[in-house]
Parts: sequence; structure tokens; C-alpha cells
Amino acid sequence: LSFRRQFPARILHPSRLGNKWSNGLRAIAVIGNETDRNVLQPALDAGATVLASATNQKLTQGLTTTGIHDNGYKLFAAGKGSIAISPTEWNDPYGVIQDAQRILSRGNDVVRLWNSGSSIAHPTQNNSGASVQVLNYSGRPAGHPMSVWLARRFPEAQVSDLFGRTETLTTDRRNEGTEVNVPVFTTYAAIDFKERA
Amino acid sequence: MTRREWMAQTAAVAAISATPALAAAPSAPVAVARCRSYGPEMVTTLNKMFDQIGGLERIVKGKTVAMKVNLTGSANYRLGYTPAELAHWTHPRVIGATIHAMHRAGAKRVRVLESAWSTAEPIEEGMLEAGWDLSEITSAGGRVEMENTNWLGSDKRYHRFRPANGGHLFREYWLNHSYSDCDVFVSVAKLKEHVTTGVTMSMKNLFGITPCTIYGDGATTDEPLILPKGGRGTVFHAGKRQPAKISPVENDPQSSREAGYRVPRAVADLVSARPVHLAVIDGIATMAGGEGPWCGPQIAQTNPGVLIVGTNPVCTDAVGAAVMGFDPMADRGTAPFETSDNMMRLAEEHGVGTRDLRRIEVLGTPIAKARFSMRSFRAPVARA
Repeated sequence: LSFRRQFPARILHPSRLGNKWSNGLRAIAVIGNETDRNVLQPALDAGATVLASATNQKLTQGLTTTGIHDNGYKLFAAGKGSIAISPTEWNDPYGVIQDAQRILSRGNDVVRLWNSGSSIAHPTQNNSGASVQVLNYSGRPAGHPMSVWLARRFPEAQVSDLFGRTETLTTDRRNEGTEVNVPVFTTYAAIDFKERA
Repeated sequence: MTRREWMAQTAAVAAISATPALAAAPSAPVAVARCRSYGPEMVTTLNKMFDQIGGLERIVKGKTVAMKVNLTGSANYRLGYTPAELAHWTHPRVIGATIHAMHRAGAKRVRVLESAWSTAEPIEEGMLEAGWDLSEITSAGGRVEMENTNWLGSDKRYHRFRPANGGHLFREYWLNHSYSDCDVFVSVAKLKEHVTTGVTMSMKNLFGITPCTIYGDGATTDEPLILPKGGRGTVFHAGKRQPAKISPVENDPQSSREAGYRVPRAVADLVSARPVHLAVIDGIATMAGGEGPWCGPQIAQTNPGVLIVGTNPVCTDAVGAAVMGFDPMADRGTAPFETSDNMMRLAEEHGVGTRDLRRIEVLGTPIAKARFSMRSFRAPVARA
């Protein structure tokens, strides 16, 4: 569901976290009531925001509240980061993603799509650049062609389809990132962003 | 006396009694300028235009300014590959340059307002989603705030606004507090055609000040919604349902349900109820054929390269219509009002301002030199 908001996320299990599990994470949504704050402390110390349901008040024990976000979450300072507690119990995964994006702000977007229609995007990073895979699950082109923005500057980009056809795209620097206009496609497009060879 | 004779006589009396109101509709100068880009030339051009209409100091010095901008539709919806600000949204640099000029003229603070599409999220989030650099607005000068007026917002109650003459459509409109908590109201709009009202500029921009919690598709005739849902099609365009009960029912529930009748009347009412002190129309880059990417195959991005500024929204829009190649005195059946009533005439009837170009002083570039044919910029559409 997170990808419907063009919001990159991954699932972590508290019992299978490595040493550097929190590196680069801006936010962590804690599902269930079993996670202790000390598990989250490395992420909080690095400045991440932890979101939790109203049933997870124990995470904020001994912390000072810093206010209430305009979507109703109670905010607490923790390490260099913060903990945001929902005013109600979570029962809608899409709502949680929506809340997370609101609290983080779209200023922290990793990827943006225009004219996305019924498409979802999955960005990944690799040694030589980054890729955004776009899946259009309506199976037909949107009324207007799509543009994609990635929050990192790359001088080169190309798009590929399921049949291996590729096309070089013109990159446009915009707001500390890279924007490309994607030719019309029906189902799948992979946009590879690269450093200059 | 036959019934036909009685009706003719009544119409004549009505026409005579309406004439003084139209003649009394005030006029104010309108500045027009050619401007090809949103670069530094736009800032100097706008400043010169503000000077031409008498300077901003007399309007904003020491005042709290509310500025309605046009960010119609969803933030991730583009006309082809064209960013929203180069087609259907007011450009952020026009917003920033106007804020900067008002700050230099002594404005106490500026609050940028829009009712974001179907959400209560801050309008900053929509701007970010559109790919804008917010600092072009927030750092333009002085104290700048923003509010999404599509819902109750940061106040505890909605505020009532009453148009002249009891209103064409509603006798009162209920709005977010920001339209009340200001000394000066500014409409910073886009120069566009509109599929329902023919054209959209500083007047039609006010259609978006109505909160969808009361007037939206998802609202009911009960209490206002907490969060807005949908657009304004059900209540304003089609008149299929009355607004939330905080609002009175419309003046004549038996009147036409046609959007071309209803929307121009709502706009005229709003311009009367929430007076505009400064109108700025961005026609540097815009679109032809409609007000947004959803308007059909005839739409096309275009770069007319004009700016229009005035202190009376009816006069300013009349000049804007003329610059787009239309006659502001035209009415239903004649372009651009083939399927709608002329909202400028309806606002004129409320005494807001005149649309008669003979009574409007045009400063800067004459209309004849700025004029272009907006219709000629439309995309060709294959006919069956």
C-alpha cells in the first residue's frame, strides 16, 4: 500500500535486525506492542521519526511531549529524533502510510510521479545509480504521459520495457533531484538513473 | 392588458431599474504588460505595474494580506509533461514577486490561501508534490503564512459572507476564517479559458475559496464534514444537493440546474461578498482550451507572455478577456460564453465593477498590442 503513495518502505522484524538496520531510515512505523524503545534507540539517535499506534504509549514513558501534529499525533522528543503517537488505534495500513508521509512531509519524498494514474513506483539504489520501476496496473496508458522525479542528481537516464527495448531520456535538474519525462507505456517501465560513464 | 403586454412592461421596468446599478458599477485602472519569462524581468515588470495602478503602499501598508492563488486540481496532475505552474497553476515566482512587492510596501504579513483538492493537508504539501521550491514563496519577504481553506482550518468556526442584493445563488456563503482575518484580499490568478464559465482569471479564482466540507461532493445537508471530500460539482455545478446546513439553502431551488447558469452566479456572489483589493493575472505561460489537464483533447500549453494587474477584479478580468481576444460585454451564446452566462455582467449587477472597456483606463501596453487569440492556441481536435 505504501507504493500507492509513492512512498518507499520495507518491512523489518525486530528479532532479525542487523547492526546497521536503521541506516538511512527517516521513519519507522511500529506495528504491534512488543517492540521496546531501546530497540529503536539507534534510529532515534540518528534523527529518525518513530510512529506508533495509540496502544503503544509505553514507547514514550519518561519523554517530554513537544506538541501535537496537525493530524492529531502526539509528538515526543527522543534522541535526535522523535516519537509520534497516533490519537487512535491503527486499523488501516493505507492510513498509517498517509500519516507517515504527512508527518515526514513531502519535502522528504524520494520519488515523485506526475500523471501516475493507477501506477505504483518502486525505487532502488545500486552501485552505479538508481532505478525506479513503475507498474501501471490498469494495463492501459494514462490520459497524459508520466514524469518521474528522483531525489538525487544523475546526469543520465534511460527507460526500458518488459521486452528489453530501451530509450535514452533527457534529464532535468530540479529541486536537488532529477526529473525525466517517460514515453507512454501500458504496463511496466524501468527507469535507470546513472552517473556519467 | 394581455399577459404578453404585462410581461413586456415588467421587463422594461426591470431594465430601467437595473440601468442605474450598472452605470454605478465602479471602474479602476488596469495595467497590462508583455513579459516573456518568469526571470528577473518579471519582477521589474510587476513592480512597474503596481506603480502604474497607484502603488501598493496605499493598499497594504501595515495590513494583513490574504492572497488566494490558483492551484486547481490534484498536485500530481500535469498537462502532458508541462509542470502545473506553466499551464494551469499560478506560477510560484509570480506569487513570490507579489509577496516581495507587498513586503516592500509595508505589508504586516501575507497569508497564502488555496483550498487544496479533496484534502485538509497543508497547501505546502501540494506545492511540494507539484515539485515547487517553497522558498520562492516563504522567503519572498516578511512574514509569510499559508493555509488550506478547504476546511475549518485553525479556527473553531466558519465565517459568514454576504453578497450584495441578497446574492444571485445564495444569500450567504460560509468560509474559512482566513478570508475574514485579513485587512486586504488579493487574487493571484492564471489567465485561462474555462469549460464552464468561458474564462477564468481573478474572479473565478474565488470559486475555490468555498470549503468542500460545506459545499463539496462528499458533504451532506447535515453538519459540515471534518475533512473535505471531492470537488464542488454536486452543490455548485449541478445543484443536485444543498450545502451543509450551516449554509442557508439556495435562493431559488427551482432555478436552473445548469452549470453555465449556476457557477457564474456563485462567482459573482463570492466576488461581491469577499471583495478583492488587488487582482494579479499570470498570463506568461498558461493553457488554452480549459482550466486544467482534465478538460479534453482541445487543451494545449501556450505562452502568451502577458501580465495584468488591477484593483478591481471585474475591470481587471474584462481587460484580461479582451487580451485573450474575447469581448467582455458578450454574453451567453457568444464566445467565450457559448454555454454560460457572463460572470462579469453578474458581478457588475452586484455593483462590484464595470466590464465596459470604454470606462476602464488601461495603463502600460494597450490592449490592441497585447491581444492574442486564445482560441487559436487550442489543440486541433478531429471531428467524427
